[in-house]
Amino acid sequence: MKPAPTLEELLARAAERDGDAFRELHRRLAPGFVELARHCVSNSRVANRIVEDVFARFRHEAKLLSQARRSPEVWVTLETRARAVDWLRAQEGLPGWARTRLESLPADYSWLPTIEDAASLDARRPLLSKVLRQLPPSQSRLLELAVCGGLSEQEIAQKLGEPAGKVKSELRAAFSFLRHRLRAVVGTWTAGI
Amino acid sequence: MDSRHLEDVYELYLLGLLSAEESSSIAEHVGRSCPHCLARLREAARAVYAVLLARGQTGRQACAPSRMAPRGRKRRR
Repeated sequence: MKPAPTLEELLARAAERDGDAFRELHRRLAPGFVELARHCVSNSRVANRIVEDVFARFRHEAKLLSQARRSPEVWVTLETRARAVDWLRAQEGLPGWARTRLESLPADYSWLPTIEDAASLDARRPLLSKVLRQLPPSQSRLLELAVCGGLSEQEIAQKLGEPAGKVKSELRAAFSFLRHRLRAVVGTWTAGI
Repeated sequence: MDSRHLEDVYELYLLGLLSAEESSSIAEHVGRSCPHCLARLREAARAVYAVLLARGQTGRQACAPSRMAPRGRKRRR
């Protein structure tokens, strides 16, 4: 029996406008991203629409991503998260900058991790969970509000009734901790994690 | 000008959560294809992806066949 094509193979075929490959990518990836969008917006109908919009755009970006060997999963993750939090903010009457920010970045996707980099994170998921659990609960909450809630440091401070300086330093400390741990996770050194 | 003073804000920049004032410094460097800023943005994208991956909200395992199977359908033995 012929083995199922890898995501990389499907991406390369989708880049050449192979409709079957694109449908297979959608079949494999979309359900996970609907979950992500639903987690952010708490609305299944909106989550489904967001992911369909993301995949409609993905169809046009597949060639560039494939040529640059940049991760389609990270691209779809960031795009889904951006559309979800912009929708969420619009419901609160707040301006949304997440998609605008992604669109402002270099169009050659040199700012995105490579396919190999993302695959190595996928392969180390239990270690990533362990790293996340090492964060103090307060910092973990701030990450959730920023990443999935789309709230700025100032907005988080208002929501939690905390001093803005405290939120700012804790959120930046959380990202700094993650950044340093991830350098170890994607490298070969895992001692002490 | 060196961009190392911006070290702690790339994740917030990528997420679109940084103030306009702080964003402008990074945008200027990224616009000039500053290698340091692009490398740090890759790390920031990796960090955001990792947060969602570790929570099971994205990634290859989030769309594994077992999670994609229709609910309520029993397997035949």
